[in-house]
Amino acid sequence: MVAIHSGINTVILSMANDNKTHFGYQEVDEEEKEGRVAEVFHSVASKYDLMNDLMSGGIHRLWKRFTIELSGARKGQSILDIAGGTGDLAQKFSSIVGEKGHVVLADINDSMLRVGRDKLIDHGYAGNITYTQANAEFLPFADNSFDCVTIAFGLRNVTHKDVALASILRVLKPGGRLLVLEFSKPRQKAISKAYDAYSFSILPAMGKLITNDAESYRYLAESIRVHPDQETLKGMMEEQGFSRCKYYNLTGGIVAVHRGFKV
Amino acid sequence: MKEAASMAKTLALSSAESLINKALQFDPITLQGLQALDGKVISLYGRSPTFQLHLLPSEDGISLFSIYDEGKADASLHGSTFNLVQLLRKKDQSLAEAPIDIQGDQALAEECLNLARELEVDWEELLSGFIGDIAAHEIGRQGRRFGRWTKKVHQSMLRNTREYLHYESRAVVNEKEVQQFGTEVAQLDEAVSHLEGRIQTLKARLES
Repeated sequence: MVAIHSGINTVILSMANDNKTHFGYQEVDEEEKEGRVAEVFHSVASKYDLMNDLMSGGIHRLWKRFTIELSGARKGQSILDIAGGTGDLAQKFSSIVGEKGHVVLADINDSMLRVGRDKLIDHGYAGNITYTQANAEFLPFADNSFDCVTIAFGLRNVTHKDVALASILRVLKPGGRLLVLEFSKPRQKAISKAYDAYSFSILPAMGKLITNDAESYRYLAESIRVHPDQETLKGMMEEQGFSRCKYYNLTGGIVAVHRGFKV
Repeated sequence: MKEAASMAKTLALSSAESLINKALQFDPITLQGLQALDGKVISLYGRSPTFQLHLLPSEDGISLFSIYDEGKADASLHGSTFNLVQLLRKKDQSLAEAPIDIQGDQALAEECLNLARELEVDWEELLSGFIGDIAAHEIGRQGRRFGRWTKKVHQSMLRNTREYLHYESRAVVNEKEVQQFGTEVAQLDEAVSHLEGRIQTLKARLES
C-alpha cells in the first residue's frame, strides 16, 4: 500500500485489496466504481463544456490543441478518441483526416456520447465520425486498427488503468501512438497549494452553482489527487509495452500529455 | 518557461488559424487553391531565432501547428527567420531566388507559398509569438507605416465630409459664411446703436 500526502488529505493510491479501488478519496468495490463514475457524468453531461471553460478559464482548449499537435495526424488516418465526451478532439481530427480518414468517438457514458454526437452534427461534422459506447478496458475494435488513440481527461476514471492501456496497445497499428491528456501533479509547491485551495473550495461551489451538483466536482478534485503522477503513468505505459514514452507538462504540471508508441 | 512559451505558441496559432479560416470563408478562390493541397503537410523551420510552423491545408481551411513529427512533412522550408518572413512578404520573389533550403516537394512548396501570399495574412504578427524582438521591430515598423496611412485617411475623410456637408448637401454653413454672418450682425448692432442714439437726440430736442 502506498500513501501519498496530497496537501489536503492523505490518500491511499494502491488498492487495499484486489476487490477495492478508489472513487476520489473513498474506497469502493470495483464493481461500484464504474456505476458511480457513470452517475457523475450523467449529472454533468449537459453543462460539461460550459463547466470546462469556467473551471479552466478556457485553457482546456489549449491543452487539447497541444495534444492534437502531438498526434501527427494527417489525411486518411484512423483515430480513436476514448472518453471523447463532447467531441472537442474528434472535431479537429475529423477535419484533419478528411473523407478518406475515420474518427471514432468512444465514451463509456451514453449521456456524454449523446451530447458529443449532437454537438458535432450541429457543427456540421459528419461522414467520417462514428460513435461507440465502449469501455476503455475492453475496446470493441480489431487489433492494429488505429494510427492514433487519444484519451483526454478520461484515464483517471478508468477502474483498471493497466488493462485499459493494454487494450489501447492492442488496437493501435504498429507505429501508432497513444496520447493521454490528464490532470497530473503540479511541479511547484506554490502552484500546488493554490491549486488545492481552488480545487477543493471553488470548484465544488462552481459545480453547485452551474449544475446544482457539488459532489461531482468534489469527485473531480479528489480523483485528480489519486491519479498517478507523471513518472508513474509513464512507467505504467512502458510496463504495458509502449515505447519511446515521454510526457509534456502543461500549466505547471497541473496537466500533462503522455505520449507512447506501439512498435 | 519553455512550457509557458509552448502554450503561448499554441494560443497564437489557435487565434491565427481561427482568423485565417474565417477570412477563407469569404475568399472562395484561395479556399479552392487550398483544396488542391488537401492532406499535405508543409513545414517552415526558421533559425536565429528558432521557430517552426506546420501548415496542414484541408478542404475546410488550414490548420497551423507549432509542433509536428520530424521529417513527416511533404515539403519543408529551412532558412533564417528573417529570410522566411521576407519570402512571405515579397510577392515578386520566387522560391528559387530566396536564400532558403527546400526539402521534399518543391512544386508543393511553391504552390503553398503563392497561396500564403494571397491570404494577405500579417505573417510578422503571427510569427511574433515565436521570434521575439526582430519580428517585433518589423511589426512595429509596419505598424507605424499603417499608423501614418490611417492618419492620412482620417484627415482626408474629415476634409471630404466637411466639403460634402458644406457645398453638396448644404446641411451646414461653412466657416466663411459664419464669419460673414457674424460681421453683418455686428454691423447691424452698430447701426441700431447709432439709430438709437439719434432717436434719443431727436427726442431730447423735441422735449426742449
